[in-house]
Amino acid sequence: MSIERFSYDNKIVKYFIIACVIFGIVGMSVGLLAAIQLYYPLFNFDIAYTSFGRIRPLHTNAVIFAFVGNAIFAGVYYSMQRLLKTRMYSDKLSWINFWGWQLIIVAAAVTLPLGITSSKEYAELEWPIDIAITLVWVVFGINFIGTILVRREKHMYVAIWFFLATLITVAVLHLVNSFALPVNFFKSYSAYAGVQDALVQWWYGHNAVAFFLTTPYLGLMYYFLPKAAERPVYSYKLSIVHFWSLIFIYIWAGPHHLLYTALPDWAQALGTAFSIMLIAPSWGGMVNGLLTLRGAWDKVREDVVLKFMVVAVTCYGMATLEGPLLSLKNINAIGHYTDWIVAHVHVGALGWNGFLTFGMLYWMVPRMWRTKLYSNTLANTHFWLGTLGIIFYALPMYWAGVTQSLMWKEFTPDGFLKYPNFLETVTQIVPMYIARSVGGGLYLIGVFVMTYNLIKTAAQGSFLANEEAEAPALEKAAHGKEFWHSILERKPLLMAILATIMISIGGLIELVPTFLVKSNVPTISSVTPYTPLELEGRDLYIREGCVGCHSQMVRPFRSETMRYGDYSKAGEFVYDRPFLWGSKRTGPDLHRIGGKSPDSWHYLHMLDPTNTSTGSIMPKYPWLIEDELDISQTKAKISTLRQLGVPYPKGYEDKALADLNKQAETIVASLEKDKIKTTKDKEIIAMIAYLQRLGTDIKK
Amino acid sequence: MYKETLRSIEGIQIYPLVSLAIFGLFFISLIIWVMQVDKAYIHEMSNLPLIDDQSSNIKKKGDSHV
Repeated sequence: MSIERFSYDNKIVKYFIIACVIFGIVGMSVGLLAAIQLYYPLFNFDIAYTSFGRIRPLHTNAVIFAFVGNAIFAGVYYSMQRLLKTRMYSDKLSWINFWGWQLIIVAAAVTLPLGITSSKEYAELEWPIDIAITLVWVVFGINFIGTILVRREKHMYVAIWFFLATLITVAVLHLVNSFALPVNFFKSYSAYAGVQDALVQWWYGHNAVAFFLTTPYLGLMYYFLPKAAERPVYSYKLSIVHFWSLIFIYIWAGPHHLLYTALPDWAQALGTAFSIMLIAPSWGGMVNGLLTLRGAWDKVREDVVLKFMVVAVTCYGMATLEGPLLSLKNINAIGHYTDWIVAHVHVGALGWNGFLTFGMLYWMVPRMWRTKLYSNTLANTHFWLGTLGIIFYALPMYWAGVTQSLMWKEFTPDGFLKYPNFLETVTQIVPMYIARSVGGGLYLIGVFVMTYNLIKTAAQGSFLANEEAEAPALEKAAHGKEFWHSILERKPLLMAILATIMISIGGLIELVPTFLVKSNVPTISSVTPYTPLELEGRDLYIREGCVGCHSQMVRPFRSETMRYGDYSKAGEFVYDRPFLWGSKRTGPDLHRIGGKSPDSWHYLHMLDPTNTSTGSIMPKYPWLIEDELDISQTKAKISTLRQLGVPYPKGYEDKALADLNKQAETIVASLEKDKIKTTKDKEIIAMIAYLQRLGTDIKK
Repeated sequence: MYKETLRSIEGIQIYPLVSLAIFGLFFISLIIWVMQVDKAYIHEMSNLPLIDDQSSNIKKKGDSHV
């Protein structure tokens, strides 16, 4: 048997680590800014680019795709080479992957504050960036599969399967959810409308959590935890069952983000049932991770890497029990739209993703720089800052979420809402927002401590760019008795196809019926397309990220119909591209806002929310008052929407501007009656037109 | 309205049943296979992350090969 010499590429891992740490700091700092904005609206700085609605998606994208994304690549590139005993298939592709991904992040960091967004959560980036993501992902995919094909280890360890499932599923999710028709280079309309768009988006959104924040990290857990504990995983058999059942079940659970909405009941029930089933594989994975440390718990006291990993796996267990519980309709009725969900995702993000990343970095960096960690004391300090940070973050948010939800639902003995003014339920939880930012601040300080420690570690060591290694060449497959699963592990393409089938079943069953059957989305005859001015106003609403704090979905509860008006019907959203149901109510629901207050109220409110609502934490929008509405794209928007099936009459785009002006004049006139002087070409006019239209169709 | 929506799709009830059946069969065969699988194979697989340095790193050439 010939022994082959080769080297592992550490340089690419080093670059991904650096990017991970830098973007981690950026993403978390933006998160802290957003958290402070919620109790000090002053920190919106009264400029468009830093207002909460635009900053929030910047935070989520930076943390998910830049911090976690680069951590995934670092971990995958490190572990894959060693598990398969080969260098990555192509250095060139590795570097295209690296620089391509960083360029996408920079593009996101520029476009999101500019308000260039599709507004679909975790898929906010506009279509040219979506295409770039696809290309970089394909490059990663070729490099990944190529590496598997040139491997020297016959079997693929379970971590590789998790990476493979990530590769495939992220590709499928991204492609399906990003379908849109461009208006121009910076603007597109979703190929799906209303209920369909919501279903596709949350099929995507949920599985972005599953296949970007979970499966790759489980792969990393299965590699780095045994490494750090110096013992094999507790049960490899369990890991096999864990893998197949997790990837099959996860894909079904998306609709639990849409309980009590206008989504058909059967889809909601499906989402709930599979979410509950998800507890089994998730906890199987958690137990497998924790029991890997059986007989080695004394090490956890000493080894900071294991400390981080134990908390990470524990947080994974907590978040994956809480998620299914929140999918039960009765619990969801309380938790949804509140800060409870924010607490839930941050236990996952800060605990599971953050801590596993930190553990991994503390493990990799000393080895790649051939030295010892600069300071164990600093690493332990980081551990405690981070742990306290998570607690100080999560507890106030749970408190805030439950408090606010109970206040929304509380009635007086006479049957009226006890807190009819939404703002009362917000000011009540402002102290919790302050406490939360303390938690986030602690966590961020911990990351700074880690950064210093890692830099010092690197400085005292010497980096090994190409780690020499040797291994026997891969033998031809031996004939004779073989297990089907071991055959599968030798045939990555077959495994990839099977994994694709597993994840497709759930997706297809959820999505196909809604697409095929028109009657699945009941139409309401009085619902008509938006007027050109309303359409422009809606696009401003999207640009400003209003959906980050305001839902447009009145659930069928007495507490909601009494507060907002009639509950939302599926047929009301057939022209909504994209849907704007939202997932959080930092402010009140807006679906029935149309016609409730005079135009002048909206004008004054957008100028400075405290004008009309004392104590409001909403940012000011002075630029809407001052800036002129860009109507250069109105025609193109109308014709794009018609191509997508919105029934604007043929040739309407030529009349659209005249209609737009006419409607704008009526709003200017109504403002003038209330002694507000403005002109019809301002953005605020379009915004008012849209807000006044919202939810009024069924009243016609 | 929602029940009507559900009924209006022809043969909708078969969708969840078929998928559950597919998964059920797959899952049961997976469990059966996992229960009777060769112990040596499982041992080899679970040790992959631990042997990668030892078997392939030149600096540790003296260590045991697999």
